[in-house]
Order: sequence, then structure tokens, then C-alpha cells
Amino acid sequence: MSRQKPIVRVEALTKTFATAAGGFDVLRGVDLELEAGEMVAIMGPSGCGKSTLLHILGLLTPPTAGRYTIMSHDMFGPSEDRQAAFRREYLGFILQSCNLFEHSNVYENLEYPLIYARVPLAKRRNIIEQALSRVGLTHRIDYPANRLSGGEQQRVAIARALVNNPKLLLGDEPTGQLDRDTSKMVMAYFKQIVYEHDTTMLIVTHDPAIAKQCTRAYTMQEGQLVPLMQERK
Amino acid sequence: MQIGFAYIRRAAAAPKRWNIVLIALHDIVHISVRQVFRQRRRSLGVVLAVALGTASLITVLTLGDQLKHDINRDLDLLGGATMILAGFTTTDASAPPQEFLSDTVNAIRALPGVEAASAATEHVDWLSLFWRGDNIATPVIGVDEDYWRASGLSAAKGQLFGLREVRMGERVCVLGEELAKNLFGSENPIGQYLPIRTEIFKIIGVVGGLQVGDRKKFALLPLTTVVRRSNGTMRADRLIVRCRTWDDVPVVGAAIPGIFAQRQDPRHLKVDVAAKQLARVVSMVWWIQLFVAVSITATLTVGGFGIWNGMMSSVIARTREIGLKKAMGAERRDILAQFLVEAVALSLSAAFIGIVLAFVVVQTAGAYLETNPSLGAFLLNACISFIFSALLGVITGFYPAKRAARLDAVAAIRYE
Repeated sequence: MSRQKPIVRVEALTKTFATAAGGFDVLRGVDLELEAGEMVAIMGPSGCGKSTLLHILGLLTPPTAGRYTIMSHDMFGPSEDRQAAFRREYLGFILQSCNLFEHSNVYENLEYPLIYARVPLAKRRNIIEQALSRVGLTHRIDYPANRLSGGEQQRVAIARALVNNPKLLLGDEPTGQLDRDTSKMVMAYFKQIVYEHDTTMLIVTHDPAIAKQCTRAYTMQEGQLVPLMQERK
Repeated sequence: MQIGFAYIRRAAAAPKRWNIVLIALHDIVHISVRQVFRQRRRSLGVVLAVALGTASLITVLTLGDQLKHDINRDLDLLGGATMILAGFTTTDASAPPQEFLSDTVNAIRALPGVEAASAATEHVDWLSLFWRGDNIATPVIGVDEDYWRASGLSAAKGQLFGLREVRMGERVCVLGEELAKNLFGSENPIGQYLPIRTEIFKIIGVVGGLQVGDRKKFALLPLTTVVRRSNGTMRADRLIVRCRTWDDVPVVGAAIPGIFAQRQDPRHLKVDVAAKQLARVVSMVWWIQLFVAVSITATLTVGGFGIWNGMMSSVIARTREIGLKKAMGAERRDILAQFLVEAVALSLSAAFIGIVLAFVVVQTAGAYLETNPSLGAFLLNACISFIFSALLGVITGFYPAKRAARLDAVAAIRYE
């Protein structure tokens, strides 16, 4: 299968945490290329650095060294505000649990990324409705978030991650607290979004069943990515 | 949908704007007010504390001037702390008689801080009053139209004569309460006529009030009426000046000789200021004001700490929310603005309640104290309190907001 030009490129990424005993290298030269429409899983035991990699790629924490580009834009920009702007434009996050603002309704949850992206008020409802339609929850738009089921909450979180039309979707154990059937349904939504909208998705997971549904899968070993499975579209 | 995303792309593609554009003000206000409203039960105690402090502040500021004025008026019972008396003293029997000319009195009336200035006869003229078969020696003084305000007197019945009667030298008179009772018993004296010497005077009023003193036995006639009929024995040789507040007394007292000297021969002029009484009153009121100010400050400080503490708790309770917002692309200043506006929304909602409360208190207290608080003063003080509350919110909310803005995004997302 011929490979497209990667839209996400990570080169020689390292991360060292300072500890009382000296520096602790969590990431030791991670290289990764992701194409549009790809869903890639990263597995590994707790503490191996997979979440750290996800946070670095999400521009939430800086690396010690390395290079990271999305569509040839250098993501490790000079200022925190510029990185926040990159997050608004290129990235979407889906976390394991407690993803939603529980005292807000579904609309308000999806509105926040648009507020931070300075989208005018008049445009927001239309965008939010379309994001919700991707996860089949348009009818819940004015529903209180804390009254939704676990599966619905995670679907709202997916819609919120998609509302800014990101290039790279980052999932940190996105099905970790869902039952098997709901996990399947959520993964089906991920696949649909990735394949239909050419979004790239990187999922950190413990679950081999989730990894099997991805295009590629890696395991994190001694601070480096080791391929488990290649190109299964 | 493409239209919406075009805005996002444009915002991201304009790096210069990132440094200056905060999220829209209406969004910050909307988000923050919504948050405060949804957590209103948690903030109720703090809001009430600040509201009480604000209400006290507005009440004291609004009624303060009026009360000071009223206290000044009432304190005259204790010795006339705000009254200045001027007259002439000389041991030289050959010295020509002196009086206060109307120009001089008008110039003193125009001084800042003067509530009223009145010329009157210093000496009492005992005139024969032929009444129902008896010849009664009655003390009579001549006063001008400002005498009532300057002396703190009011009409118990009828009315007091004014500028027109004084200018025209009309034959009207105002009786002291006791004199009226002695002459008329239970009859109404208003409109009746009194023969004084060889002339008939119409009684137009009875003067009373707490401050009437010996004048309850007097007949008070227009100054010009008395002077014209006295063959030079009676003149306007007494000046009574009432100052608006005790703060004005030293200034006005010092200015009177200068004003007088510009118009008349200042020799023998004597100005009496009740300095000791004044110092005592000022000291007493200063302590009262200090006590009130300390109480209000304490209330507002407690309220301010309440806001600070509430916001700190809120930052801790919403750590994960802050992390999620940062992951969505919120900048530090967006988070800071939201928490800061929440603190200000809290303090302003307290101020609003305080203003409503203060309005009720001012109206009630005004009615009880028989004063008429000015609506303009109330509105001005409400505005001052509103601004003060906003500042309180900014000051007490800034540190928690800054702390929220500086939270590490990863640690915040992982916070349980």
C-alpha cells in the first residue's frame, strides 16, 4: 500500500523528568509519522511514557528535545499563547472520563472551544449542531451534561473535540471507563470520523481490542515506539 | 460549517492578533455570571457580607451630611456650637453707636459655609401693651427675615414674617409661645390685633420649638419696624450667623472681621465663636465616625476575604475544568479573565443587593430621623459603592484568578 505524505511528523522526541536521583528519561528519541485518515494506537504498561507523549503532542507539556510538525508547521512554537492557538486550530482531545463540564448543558460544553477560537456567537449553534450530528446527538443539544449516560457523555466529548475540525485527534484511554458495547460504539464513531473526514487520530490505550481496530499500533518500550501492527485499513 | 471553521482558521492565521485579542467580553461576562449564578448557594454568605458592608457605606455616606447638619442644628441646645454671634463692645461713652448695615450682612450671608445670617436688635425694648384692661410691659426685639433660620426657630402656629414685611416695615408681630398663652389662653391668636404703645400690630404667628429659650416670652417685630419707632435707641447691633457644619465655624468666624472692615469701621467689633463647645462636639463626632468607619471596613474586609477564599476554593474544585479548557485552546489570559470576572460578578451582585438594602434603610432612617435624604447624594454614593465593590472584586479575585491561569495543564487534567 502506497503511503501518503505524513501530515504529522515527530522526530527524535525526548523527555527527561528531573528527580531527586537525577534525570529520568521517559522518552528517548521517539520518531513517528501519521497520515491523514489514520488511526494509530499506542500501548504499553503504566508509566512507560505513552501519556507523556500524548501530552507533548497535545502541546500541554514541553519536550526536552525533538521536532514536531503538523502540515509542516513547527508545533513547538515560541510562546504559550501561540501553542494555545495551535491547539485550537490543529488539535482535539478526548480523555478517559470526567470530560464534560457537568454543570453545563451539551451546547455549552461544545461552545467553549468555539469561544476560545473567537468564533462569533451567531455561527456557533450551526457548528455545534453539525458536530453533534457526527455522533448522533443533535437531539441532546440542550440537555444537561450530567444527566447523559456514560456513552452519551463520551460521544459529546468526541463532538467537542471535533467542533473545531482538528487535524489531529488525541485520545487518552477514551474508552477506558466504558462497557464493551459502548466502547464498540465509540470506536465505530472514531473510525467514521477518521475515515470520512480525513482526520488523524492517536489513541493511547491498554486494551488490545481497541488497538486491533486501529490502522497501526505501537508499544512504548524503554522510551521508544516499537511497531506492533502495520497498515490495516 | 465551512463558514464557521473559516473564522477559526483566520484567528489562528493571524499571529499578531493572538497577543492582543482576549475572548469576547460578552462571552467572558456570560460564562462568569452563569457560573456565579449556578454556584449561588456556595457564595450566598459572602455576597450577604459584602452587601451589608455596602449598604452601611451608602447609608452612612448618604445620611452623613444630612445627619451632620441636623446634629449641628440640634447641638445648639447644648450651647450653639455652630452659631457665631457678633456685636459691638466699647467702654467709650462718646463713641458713635454702631450697627450692622444690610450690605455687610448680605456679604456675610454670601460666605461659603454660612447657612443663615441675621441682623437683630441686641437690646430688648420693654413696651407697654394695653391688653383687655391691663397694661403689660412686654419684651420686644426687632429681627430680620433670616432670624428664624439663624436661630433655629420655627412657627408653632401661623407663619413667621419674611423679607417683604421687613422691607416694608409692616405692623405685624410674632409672639413667643408663653406670651401668646398668657395673652390669649386657649384662643387662637393668629389674625388678632395687639395694641403696642399707640399702634395696632397684627399677630401672624407664634414661634416655638426646642430652641426658643427666653424668646417664648417675647414679641418679635420686623427689624425696620422696631428701629423706625425707637427714636434711635434700637438698631441692628447684633449679628447671628449660623454655619452649615462645625467645620465651617472657624473659617467663617475668621472671615467676618475682614468682610466687615471692607464695608464699615471695624473698631469695637467683637466676634464670639464657641470654641470649647465646638472642639468637644467635633471630638465626639470624630470618634463616632471612626467607630462607624471601622465597622464598615471590618465588614467589607470580611466580605473581601470571603470572596478571596471562595475563589481559591473554586479554583481547586475546578482544577480539572481549567485543564480541559487549556487543552481546548484557552490562553492564560482567558482563564484569568474568567475567574477575575467571576469575582467581580460576585462583588457586584453583592453591591446591587447592598444598594437596594441601603435605599430601604435610607428611606426608613430618613423618615425616623425626620430628615430628607437627597436622591442625588444617594445615587452618587451608590455609584461610588458600585465602583468600590468592583475594585474589591478585582483585588480579592486577582490572586486566585492568576493561580488558576498558571495551573499546569497536564497536572490539572489529571487532578481528581
